[in-house]
Amino acid sequence: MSGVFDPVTYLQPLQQPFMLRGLLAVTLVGIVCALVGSFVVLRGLAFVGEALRHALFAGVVIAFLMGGSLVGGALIFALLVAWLLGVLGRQQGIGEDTAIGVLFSASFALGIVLLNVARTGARDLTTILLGNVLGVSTLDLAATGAVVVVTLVAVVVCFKELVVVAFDPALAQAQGRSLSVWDGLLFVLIALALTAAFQTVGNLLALALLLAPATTARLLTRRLVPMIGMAMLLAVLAGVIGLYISYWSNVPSGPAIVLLSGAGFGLALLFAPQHGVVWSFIQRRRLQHSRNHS
Amino acid sequence: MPNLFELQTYLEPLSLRLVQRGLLAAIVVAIICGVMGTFVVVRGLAFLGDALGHAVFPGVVIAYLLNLNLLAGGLVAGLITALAISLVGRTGQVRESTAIGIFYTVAFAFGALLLSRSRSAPRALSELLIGNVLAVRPEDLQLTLLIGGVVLLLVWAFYKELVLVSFDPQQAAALGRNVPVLNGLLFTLLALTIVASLQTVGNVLVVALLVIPAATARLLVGPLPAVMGLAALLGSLCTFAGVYISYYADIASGGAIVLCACGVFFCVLIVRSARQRLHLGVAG
Repeated sequence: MSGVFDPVTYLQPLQQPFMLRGLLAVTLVGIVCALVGSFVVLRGLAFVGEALRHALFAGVVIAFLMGGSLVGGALIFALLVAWLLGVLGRQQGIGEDTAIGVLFSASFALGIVLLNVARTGARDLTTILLGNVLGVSTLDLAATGAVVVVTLVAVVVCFKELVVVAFDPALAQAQGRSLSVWDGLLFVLIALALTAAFQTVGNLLALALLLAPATTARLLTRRLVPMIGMAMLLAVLAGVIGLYISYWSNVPSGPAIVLLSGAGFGLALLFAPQHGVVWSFIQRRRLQHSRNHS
Repeated sequence: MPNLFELQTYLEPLSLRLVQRGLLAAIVVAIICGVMGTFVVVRGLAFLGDALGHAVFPGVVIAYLLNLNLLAGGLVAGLITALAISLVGRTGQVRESTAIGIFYTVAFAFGALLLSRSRSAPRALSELLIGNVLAVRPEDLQLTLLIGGVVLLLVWAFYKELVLVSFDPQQAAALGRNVPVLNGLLFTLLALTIVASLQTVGNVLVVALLVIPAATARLLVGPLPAVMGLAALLGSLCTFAGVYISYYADIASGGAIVLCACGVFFCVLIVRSARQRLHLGVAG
């Protein structure tokens, strides 16, 4: 391996086609996850993301067993669960939190049992959960690209509605906007983003890519558009650096990418200007100090 | 295909030591999950339960690589994660549910990274993720019984305080109870329950055993002790059925148990809403 400052170090892996495809995939996935994730974080839908992620798992296994398209199976099942969530959450005596808990564990158990029946073994479970960026095919890449385009178009077209609903659901309702329609759109976008992410970072870790960059960006800036841009930048950076680390040190890429995003979140939480822990501690000390002197 | 109407079908597996052990461990787990699950459902802690289930993973992996006790490692990791989540939630900068989502995925990624260094990775990983009732060793059973006893004893001793802090934290504070300590106790009990369940249902399905029987019981009865009892009973029955299905059909026991519990939940839900419709129809 050549030096850290030598451009050859970074260009040489690119000669491998699988590495090139992988880099393109993490970039696309980073963009779509950060974009959708910003709305998820603002609207507080982390747990819905968790439920949809488990639903995707069952969908992927079913599609795999029937020999259909994995992405298609994942999407159909996620949409089904999103619909059931709405129905079950409205039943009295259950509560939304419990409804989500029941649904996602049910679909996950279904996935596990089906995988078991198929006798495909532990290897596949690990791949579905933790992903395999370097196994991305050109077809997967095209599907991911399509997801990115659809998501971008949807967000740009419905930007105002999504923002109002995310920041102030009560106001949105008072203005005559239907919460179930716009939340429903967001559920679909979450399902799309998670589907795009499951090949690269895996089903389990996709949630991290949805939440961590957007939360980090939110700690750094409160304005929405810069926040989304920064979240995208952070997600793509974590993806690219994680992939290089995985290439050189032979660690699985999904966990490497997620740990980098997590480290970014930790740093922002501690040291972000204005909202960071250290900053507010200093502010408080200063306030006390000036009070004691006056 | 075994004959469902013959007694032998049900007795034969029981003659095996390993089935006896597994079944006993799984039923102990179902009972404590029923009791703790009632708190989870009442307080809306399903996401935290799920996150703790995943967060014990790095601890278990470290213990596995260092040849220490797996469950102790898991317990430490679960408690550290619960502490980190509540600390971050208290800064007020990040929503608690978001913090839960980030912390557990990062913890899990850390565990997966560590495990990828070991050769037996995929096998060991899936064993931890989905559990295996029929692989319970005698020392595992002892530990499960011990944890089960401790959890039930603590719930019994602090029952009034735990209920108060679950339903009405403000009133608990007004009555001079130490709410953070009681919350800490509740989370610790939850982490203990999850760790005890690792071997039988695995860490990704434990939240199902916490949430589903308690949610089913809550649809059927009102008073809290009755919900706990019924949840423990339903959980045990589903565990029984699940272990038999897993024995004969050779599928993952955790998955079979959870699917049984789900079946019961949806049956109860459908019957209940059908009856409600009927009553409404008669009234109108």
